[in-house]
Amino acid sequence: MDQDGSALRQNNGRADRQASLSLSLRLEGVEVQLGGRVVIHALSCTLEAGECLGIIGPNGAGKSTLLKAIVQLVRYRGRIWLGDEPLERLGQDRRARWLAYLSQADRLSWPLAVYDLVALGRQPYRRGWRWGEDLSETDRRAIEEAMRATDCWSLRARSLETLSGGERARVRLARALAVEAPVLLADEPIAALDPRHQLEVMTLLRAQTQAGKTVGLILHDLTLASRFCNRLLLLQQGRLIALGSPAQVLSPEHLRAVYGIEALMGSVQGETYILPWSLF
Amino acid sequence: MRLPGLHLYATLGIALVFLSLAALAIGPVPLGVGEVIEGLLGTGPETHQLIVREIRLPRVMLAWLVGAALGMAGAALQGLLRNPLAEPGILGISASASLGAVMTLYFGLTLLSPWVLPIAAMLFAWVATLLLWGLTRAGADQLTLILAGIALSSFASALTSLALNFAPNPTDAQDIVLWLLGSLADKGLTELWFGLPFVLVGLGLLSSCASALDLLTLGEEEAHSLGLNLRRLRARVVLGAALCVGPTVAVTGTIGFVGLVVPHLLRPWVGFRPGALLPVSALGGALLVLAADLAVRLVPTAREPMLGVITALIGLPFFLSLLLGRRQSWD
Repeated sequence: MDQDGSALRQNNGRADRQASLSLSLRLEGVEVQLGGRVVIHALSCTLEAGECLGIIGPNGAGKSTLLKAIVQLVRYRGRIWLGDEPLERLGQDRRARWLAYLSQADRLSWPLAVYDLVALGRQPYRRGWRWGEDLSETDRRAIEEAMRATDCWSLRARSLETLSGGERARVRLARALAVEAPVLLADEPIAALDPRHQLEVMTLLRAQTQAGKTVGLILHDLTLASRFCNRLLLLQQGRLIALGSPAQVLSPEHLRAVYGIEALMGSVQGETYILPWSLF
Repeated sequence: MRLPGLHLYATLGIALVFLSLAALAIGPVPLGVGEVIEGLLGTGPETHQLIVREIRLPRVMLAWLVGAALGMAGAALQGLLRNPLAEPGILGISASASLGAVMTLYFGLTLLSPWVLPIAAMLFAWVATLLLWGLTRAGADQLTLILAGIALSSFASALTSLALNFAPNPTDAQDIVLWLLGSLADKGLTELWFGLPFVLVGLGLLSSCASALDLLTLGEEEAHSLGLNLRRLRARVVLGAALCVGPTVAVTGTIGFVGLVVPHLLRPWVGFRPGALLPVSALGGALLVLAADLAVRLVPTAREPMLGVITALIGLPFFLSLLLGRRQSWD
């Protein structure tokens, strides 16, 4: 980690060692209006430093909008703090290095080579004109690490248009990991993955938090949410319904009230599984 | 990792040098390569020096300038709009410049001074640019920008047609039509100096957008999260494209297809990276316009065919074969 720091300092000419930083993200009364409609109602919560917070809720609950507000893509009222700094005043350069964001939309304009796409995650560390391939050693190491972690190093020379949906999802995740930001926000990162890769990616994200990263994820798979997230945040129609441990949040009452479903629940090896079973 | 097609730069550069030498050698007075080089260096006979340096070289350099401007503007707009169909004409800047030029032809103002036409064209291009630039500053999104460009373009074309419609006599109408087709004939150093400063600033401005355009590949949201200021990028590309296209149209008339076809042809060779495509498209554009101008001069017709027509005729087969080739690889 210390080595990281010195390399980054060289890279930026400044002393922020974000790769080894562990930051919390605190929302204070964040309210979002889109087209005159309130999409998020004054919401306050904290992503603790080094935790994996799962954001769950039915379609249209405002999960994606919440992430977009945090990365300053939509306007909001209220305050967001990253560590002890107000996010709004961070400036886009530092925000880009501290907050990595993986959107839901999988629309890539040009069929870049996989490696080139992941390398875009290193752009926040670069200044000015860039025509050539001027990746530093730190950049290369970060790119390779991110690609190996997401199991797409072997795809590096392939063109994006030759990849399957799952492979693309992993490549996009590698792009977000390559930023090496202390906070990672991902909008349904495992939606397109097969079961094996879902488990792999969740394990990987969990490992990121053990290294001190703060991770916020939007998920639909309740079992994976329960098993891999430290805490869950349940949203419904823009309101926070519950925030707490998976066991507290994923109660049968909540599932009925919010999703309108009955679920089969049980536990295997001390971990809970939740199987949506019937309509309520 | 691989370099951004160093051999691509080399290939295009060498081709450009060879083609330029050919363009300097070929003409009513054919010269050998040795004579051309002597003429350039100012060591050969005076007539050769005159032909090479005063007549042919300015035209060759103008072809470079126009081609580079159109090629890079096309590449930047395709990158910004994330659409391979975008071209310098899409923002309505070239149509507006044309309208300015056509107005001076229509009202016979070109008789006053040879500068009236290019200056009017530039002014009209600037009005259009300021309008679009204002829109981007006001936070217009991609679609608004395209729609505004199309509206502007249609409006300018309608007025141009009106001028043709009401042209006081057939020769005026013919002047207008011929000008609209674009040509480098009888253009020289004055035109080059007129366009050069604007185009250089435009090329610089567009080049500075390279890494921002790369980021935009990820889509607007993720690009924003990586520090891209989309509003500023739009303003810069609009301004840069206008600086490239405005003076080009003012000096040579509309030369179509270069800005569309050159980036499209070269994109696979730079690994589809919009940033790396910019300088390569400038080189490719220069190459295409030079080749087309050479073809114009070589065709043994009583009257030189117009350059704008030839760029389309040369570009089209390439374009079609490329499209068909890609279709097959998709199947």
